[in-house]
Amino acid sequence: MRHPLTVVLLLLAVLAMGQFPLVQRMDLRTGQLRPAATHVVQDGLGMLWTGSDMGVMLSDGERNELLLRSAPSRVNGLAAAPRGTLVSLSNGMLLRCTVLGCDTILHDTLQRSIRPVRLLSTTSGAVYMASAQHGLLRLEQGRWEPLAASAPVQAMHINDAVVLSDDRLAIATDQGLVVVRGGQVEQVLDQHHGLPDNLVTAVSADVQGAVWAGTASGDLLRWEPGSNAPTVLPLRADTAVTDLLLHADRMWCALANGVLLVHEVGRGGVYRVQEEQRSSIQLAPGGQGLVWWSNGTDVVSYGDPRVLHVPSHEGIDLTAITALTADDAGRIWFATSAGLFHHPDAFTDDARCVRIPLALQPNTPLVSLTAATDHTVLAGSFGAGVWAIQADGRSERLSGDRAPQDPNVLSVATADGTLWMGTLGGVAALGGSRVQEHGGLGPGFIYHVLPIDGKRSLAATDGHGVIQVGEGRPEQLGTGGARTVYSLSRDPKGRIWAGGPATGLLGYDGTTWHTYGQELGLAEADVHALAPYLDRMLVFTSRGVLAFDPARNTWNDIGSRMGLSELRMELNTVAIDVHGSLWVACDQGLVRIVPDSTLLASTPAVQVRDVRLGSEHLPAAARFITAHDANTLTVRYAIPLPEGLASMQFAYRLVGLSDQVLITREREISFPALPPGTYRFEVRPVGVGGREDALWTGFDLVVRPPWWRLPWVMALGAVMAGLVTFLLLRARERRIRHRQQLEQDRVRFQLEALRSQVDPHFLFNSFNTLVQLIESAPEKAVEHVDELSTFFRNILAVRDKDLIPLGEELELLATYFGLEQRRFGAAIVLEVQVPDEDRSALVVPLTLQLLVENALKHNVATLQHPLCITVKVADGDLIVHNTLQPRLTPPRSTGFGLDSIRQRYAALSARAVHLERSERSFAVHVPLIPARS
Amino acid sequence: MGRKPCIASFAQLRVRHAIGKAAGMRTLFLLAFWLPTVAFPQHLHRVVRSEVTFVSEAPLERIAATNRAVTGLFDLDQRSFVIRVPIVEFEGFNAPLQREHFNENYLLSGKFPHATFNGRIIEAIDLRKPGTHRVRAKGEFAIRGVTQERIVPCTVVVTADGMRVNTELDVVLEEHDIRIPRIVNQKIAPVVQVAIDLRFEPRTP
Repeated sequence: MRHPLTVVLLLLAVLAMGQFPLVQRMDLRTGQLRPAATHVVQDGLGMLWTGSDMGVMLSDGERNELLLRSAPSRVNGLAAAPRGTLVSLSNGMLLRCTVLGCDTILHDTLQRSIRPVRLLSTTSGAVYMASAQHGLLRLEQGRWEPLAASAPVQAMHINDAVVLSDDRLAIATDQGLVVVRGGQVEQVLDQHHGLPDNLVTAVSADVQGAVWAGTASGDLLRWEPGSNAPTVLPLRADTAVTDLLLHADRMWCALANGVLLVHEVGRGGVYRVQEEQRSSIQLAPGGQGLVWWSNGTDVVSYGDPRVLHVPSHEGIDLTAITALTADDAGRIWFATSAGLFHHPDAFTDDARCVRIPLALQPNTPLVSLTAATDHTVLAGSFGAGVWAIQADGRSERLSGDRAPQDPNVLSVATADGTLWMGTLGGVAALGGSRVQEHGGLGPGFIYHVLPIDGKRSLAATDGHGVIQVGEGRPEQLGTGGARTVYSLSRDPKGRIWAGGPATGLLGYDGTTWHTYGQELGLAEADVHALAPYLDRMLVFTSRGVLAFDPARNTWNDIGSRMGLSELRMELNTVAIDVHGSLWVACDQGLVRIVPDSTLLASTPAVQVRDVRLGSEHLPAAARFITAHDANTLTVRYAIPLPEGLASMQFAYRLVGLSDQVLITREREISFPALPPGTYRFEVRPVGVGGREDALWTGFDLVVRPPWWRLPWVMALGAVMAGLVTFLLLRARERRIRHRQQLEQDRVRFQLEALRSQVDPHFLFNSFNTLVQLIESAPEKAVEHVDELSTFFRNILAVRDKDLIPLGEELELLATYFGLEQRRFGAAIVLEVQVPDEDRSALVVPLTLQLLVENALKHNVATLQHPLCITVKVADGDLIVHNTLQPRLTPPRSTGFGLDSIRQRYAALSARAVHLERSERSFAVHVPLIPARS
Repeated sequence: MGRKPCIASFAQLRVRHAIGKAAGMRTLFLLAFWLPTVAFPQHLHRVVRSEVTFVSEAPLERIAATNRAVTGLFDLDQRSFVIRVPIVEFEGFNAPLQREHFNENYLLSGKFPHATFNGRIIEAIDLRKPGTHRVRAKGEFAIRGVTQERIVPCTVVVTADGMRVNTELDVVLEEHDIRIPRIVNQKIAPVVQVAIDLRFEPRTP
C-alpha cells in the first residue's frame, strides 16, 4: 500500500468487478415482519415461494404474504412439486402448499432432528430428502423410508443431491460423487477417477444428463455418468462452491465467500454476478432463464443473464460512449471521451481493454465507428475527419483525396469495398483512392448512411427525409416530406426502416413510408436507433426499448425486461456481434442482449390466484355458482414473476354486469352486491399502449336467484295469493249476507210483533172490553185506555232495540197481561217465578208477549179451567209454560210467531229455542243471553 | 416375568431416540457412562492444552480475547471430534466492560454457554502416524445457538505422545444472528478471525 501505483491497481481491480448480468432485488418485508429467507422456489404459475425462519411466504411481486407462520420452527427445505410446493419444517413437518394454503403430508415428531440438505421432487411425483444425519429418504405412504443406498451414502456424508433423468439421483458427498438408481448405488466418482477433490459440496444436472459438481477447493466439473473422467472447468475460485444451478445454458455457482458467478456454457467466460456478505446463497431456477437466490436476509434477488450491463470497465466510464461497433474477430469497439478502445465481447474478469492511440485533439469526439470486412475499423470524428485502424493496431487519418470535404463525419459504413461517410456537407463515398462527394442534399447533417451497395447508399438527413445518393441525381425515398431521420436499418427481408425525432417508426414498402407506433406515443418520442433482432425491429427511443413485429403489427415493451425503461443514448451506439448478440451503449452503460426469444415473449397471462365471495375463499375452478346473498365478489390475480415486479396495468371486465373494459394498477378487484345472473370475469395485462397480445384470463360466475325468485315458487305463490284472496272475499261476502239476514230477521220480527199488537182481534177484544167498561164502570174504562196507551208506548220504546233486560220484558208482559186479564178475568193466570238476579239477563224484546199471546190464542181459558201460564228461569233458559187446553177449532195461524223467535235466537245464542209438549202442558224454552257486565 | 413389556419397550424407545439424536451426542452419552468405570480408551484423545483466540479488526478498534479452557475429544478411528469452548472463559479484551458486553449482549453466554464444533476430518489419513498433515475438518459450528456447516482447513501435527491441531476460521457475525448495533459499527468487525490451537493427548482425566 506504500506505493501509489499499488493503490491505483487496487482501484482498477475493484472497478473491474462492475460486470454483471442484470440483477434485481425483491424485498420480502411485509409490515413489521423481517423474514430471513433461506430457501426460494418459483412455481409453475410464476409465484415465488420463500422459506424463512418465520415460515412460508408467497410473493407475486406486488405483495408478500406469510402463508404459513411456522416460527419458532424454520423452513429447512423447499421444492417445487407437480401439485404444489413442498415445504419441510424444522419440527419434522412436511407440507404441500398452494396459493390457498398448506396441507400437512407428514408430521413426524420423532424425526424432527432430520436436517435436509436438499428436498427433491421428481416430475413423476416422487419426493426424496437428502439429509446429512439420516442419509437418503423417500416419501412413501406418509412416511420417510430410507433407500437401500442410504447407509453407505450416509457414511460418505451427503452435501447435496439432484434428480437426474429416469429417477436417478446424483449425490455430492465428502467421499466423491455418487449416482443412485432404484435405491442402489450405481457409480461412485472420487479422486481415483480424476475428481480433483473428494469433498464435493454442490451438484446440478443439465438436460443432456450430465452432472455438474462443485468442490470444496473451488473446482467446477462436468461429468457424464457412465464415463470415468470428469471435465474440470476453470472457475478460478479458491473457496468452496456452496450451490450450483445449471439453468438455460448457464451455470450459476455460489461460493462460500458470498460471491455468485455465472458461467456461460456455450459461449465460455465466467461473470461475477455479485458479492454478498453472507455465504448462504441458495439458487433456484425461474421462468425465462432467470435465476432466483436467497441469502438468509429479507431480500431475494434474481439475475437475468439474457441482459448484461457493464456500467464501467477497468476504470473506463461506459455510460458516455459516443460510438460503438463490433468486428468479426469477436471484439467490441467503443469510443468515449477517453479515446478509442476495443475489448473482447465477453466482459469476463480476465478480459482487458485495449486503447488505440489516435492523434486527436482534445474535445474532438469520435462519433461514428464501423468495422470493414478487411479487418479495418473506421472511426469518424466530429471535426477531424475519418481515421482508419488496421488489424495490427496502426492507425492513420484519411487525408488528401481520400478525405471527405467536411471533417465532421457523423456516420461511416462500408459496402462492397466502398466507404460511405455522412458529414455536415453531404455524403462522401471513398471507392478507390478518391472521395466522391454527393452534395446537393440541402443544408444540415447527414445523421446516418445505410449503403445499398458500392454504388448507392441511403442517407438520413436533417429535415429532408431519407435520400438515396449514388448514380444519378439524389432522390428522396418515398413521399416523406421534411422530416429529420436519425437512424436507418434494414431487416433480414430487405425492408428499410427509419426513425428520428417525433417520427414514430417508419417502414418503407418500396413506394411510400408507413408510420407505426403512433398509438404508443412514439410520435412524441425520439427514435435514437433501430436494429434488427430475431424477426423483430428493435426501436430504441427516449421512452425505452420496443420490439415491433412487422408480420403481426404488434409491439412488445422489452425495455422493462432489460432494465432499460428510460434511456438516453448517442447515435451510432448499437452494434451486433459475431454471436448475434446486440450491444447498446446508453446512459446506463454498455448493455448486451443475447438473441433470446423469451425476451420477445408476450407478457404472460394473468393468473387468477384467489376468488372470494364475501370472506370465503373458493377453491380453484373455471366456474363458480353462488347464492344470491353471497354475492360480493373479490378477485385477486397476479402476473408471473419477474413481470409481476414491474408496476403493471391490467384491463378487466365483468361480462354480464357491463361490457366496459376498465384499466387498473390494482391486483385485487371487488364487485359488491352482484344481482343474480351469469357473469364472466376477464383480466389481462396491458403493456405499452394497451397493444400487448397477452390473452384474457378469467372464469365464469353464476349468482343464483333467491328461492322465492324461482319460477315454480313464483307460480305457486301467485296461486296461493289468489286462493287466499278468494277465500277472504267469500268469507266477507258471507258475513255481509249474514248481517243482512239478521237485519231482515229483526225487521220481520218487529213487523210481526207490531202486527200482532195491531191485530184486529186484539183491538176488537180491547175495544169490546172498553165498551163493557164504559157501560159498567166508566172510571175503569179510563184506566183501561191508559193501560192500552202505556202498552203501545212501551212497545214503541223497545221496538228498535235488539235486546232488553228480562226485568223490562217482564214489565211489558205485565202490562199486556193486565189488558188481557180485563177480558178473561180469572180464566187466565200468570205466574212469574223469576229471581231478581236473573232479571238483568237479556232477551229479545216482546218474546214473552209473543209466547203468552200464542198461549192465549191456542188454548181455551174458562173459569172452570183457567189457563195457567208460568214464566220461570231454569238452567239459563227462560221457560214459558202453560197448561195445554187446546181449542176445538184451531185458530187461523201463520205459525210465524214461534219461527221468528227461533230465528232471532239462533243468531244470538248458541243454544236453540226448543219446545216441550206433553198431554197436559206446553212449554217453550228460550235461552237467556247473559248480560255483558 | 413380572415386568410389563410394553412400558419397558416404550422406555427403551425413548432412550434410543434420545441417544440417536446426533452422532456427536451419542459419543458424549457413551463417554458419560464409560469414563468413570473403565480406563480411557487409547483411540480417544482429550484436549490437554488449548488456546482459542479471536480478533476483531474494526476501523476504530481492535479487540482480541483468548480462551484456554477448551474441552474436546478426538476419535482417531472415526477421525471425528467434539470441541467445546466455554464463552465466559474468554479473557483479554480492552476493558472489563467490553467483556461484559461480549458475554451479555452479543454472545448471550447465559443462554448459550458454549460454542461447539462437532465434525470429522475429511481426508482418510492415519492420525497415529507421526508427521504433519494438512487436512480439512468438516462439521457443525455453533455459536449463540445458530449452527452453520463449515469446512475448515487445519494442520495436524502428530507426535508420539499426542497431536496438535492448528486452524484459523472466519466467523461472519450475521450468520450467527449476532447483531451489531449501528453505534458500535465502527468498533466491531462484521467478520471475526478465530485462531485455534489445541493439544490432544490420550490421557485419563
